[in-house]
Amino acid sequence: MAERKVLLRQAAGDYSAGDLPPEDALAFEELMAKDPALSQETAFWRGLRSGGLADPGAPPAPPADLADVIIRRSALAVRRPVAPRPRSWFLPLSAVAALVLSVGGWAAGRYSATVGTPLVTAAATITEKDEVSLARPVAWMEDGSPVMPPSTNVSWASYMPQRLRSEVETSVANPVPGEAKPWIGVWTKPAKLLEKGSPLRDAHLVIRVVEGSPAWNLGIRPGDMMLSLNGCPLMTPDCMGEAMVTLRAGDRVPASWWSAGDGKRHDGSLVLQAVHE
Amino acid sequence: MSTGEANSDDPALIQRFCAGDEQAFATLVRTYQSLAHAVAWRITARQDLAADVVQEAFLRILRHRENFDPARAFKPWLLQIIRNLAIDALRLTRRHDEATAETGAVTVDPGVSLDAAETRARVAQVLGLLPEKYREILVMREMEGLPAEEIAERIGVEYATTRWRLHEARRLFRNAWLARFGAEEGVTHG
Repeated sequence: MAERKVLLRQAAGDYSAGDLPPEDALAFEELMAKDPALSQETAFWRGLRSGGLADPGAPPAPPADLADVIIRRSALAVRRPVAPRPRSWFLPLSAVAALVLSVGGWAAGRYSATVGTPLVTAAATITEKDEVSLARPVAWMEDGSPVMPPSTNVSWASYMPQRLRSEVETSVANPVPGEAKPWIGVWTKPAKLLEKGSPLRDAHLVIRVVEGSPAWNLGIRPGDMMLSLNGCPLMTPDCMGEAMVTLRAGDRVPASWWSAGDGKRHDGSLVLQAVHE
Repeated sequence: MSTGEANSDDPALIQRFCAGDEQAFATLVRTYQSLAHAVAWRITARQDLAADVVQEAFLRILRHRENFDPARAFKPWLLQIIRNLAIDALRLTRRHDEATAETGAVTVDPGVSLDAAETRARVAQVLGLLPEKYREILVMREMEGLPAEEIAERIGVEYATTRWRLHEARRLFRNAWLARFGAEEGVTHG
């Protein structure tokens, strides 16, 4: 009896999948009409299929540049030097540089003069004057909780750990010539983007952009969300950090971002600038 | 018994890949990207997710190439990674749905009903609870639409074993679904 029950449950799965021969399917339908449990089992799988589990149809062609993006990223992985993992903060090396330049330039009101300058000599203090105003929630913490409720002004400085603030202030006050680093001129933090037409995605909320920087020239502004750089879809937390460690100043790389201004995704490319730390 | 899908790869190519040859990797990417994308698409039903999954799968393979036995078939290894990553990507869409409910925002793919997207995300949640061998076979049958005979060939087990494993996978899946979502939520989207 128990064995028959098992066999019938198996048949329910086969029946709903269309795997039973026609004569067996007819026999199963007769049994199903008399057995509510069997009918329920079949309905479960039918419901799943009609509800969206079924084959979505012929797959579209992959993106034309998919192989190129993978191969480019693989080259980065191969070239990646042995180094400590980047901080959870985005663009860890360049972020400090970006902040140095942006704060110095912002305080002195001369962005265009400081961008591209190898050393920053202006001392600056970090204030909470700059704010990102978002009309609706678009960002979430990595655990899924909203970073900001609707219509809330967000202070960029409030995101900065005190330890890193001290580090930045020190580097501004005591600039030391060093190796040139690639730089796009943004300060970001990991977040989740609810983009229309997409699931909740990994992204990076742009807290600050240096006027005249590659990111600025591309149209990226505070409140926007960086989605990818050089093909990194940001599925891994250190993807962007990896790119920034292995790329060189002068490299042209594709970038995608979501604009808070028009609520749309944008794609473009930028040339990494050199900054000295 | 077969050890898996017949190795149609060029053994020398696989060996060069395992030895760190970048050109060999590029050849594998160009050879298998369409197949990998198609499998990811059939599971996620989302082109953007499928492309992300394919990227991540190839990079994961590259990072772990030292662990791959060149005598094994490459394609099943790749597709197994694709399936797992696709399920993971779909599970994340569940978080998106929850965030949507919280904020009142509506984000639905053009041409895809909310019910269908919701069902697929829930399926991924439950699949994530199943042991690998059951998850894999259920994904191949229910999401990729492969017949049992072909699944048997691909995973390298007897047809009868495949059928039994498929039945067991369905039983485990249904129990897990009912435990997670309850009978009242059913699946009667019709």
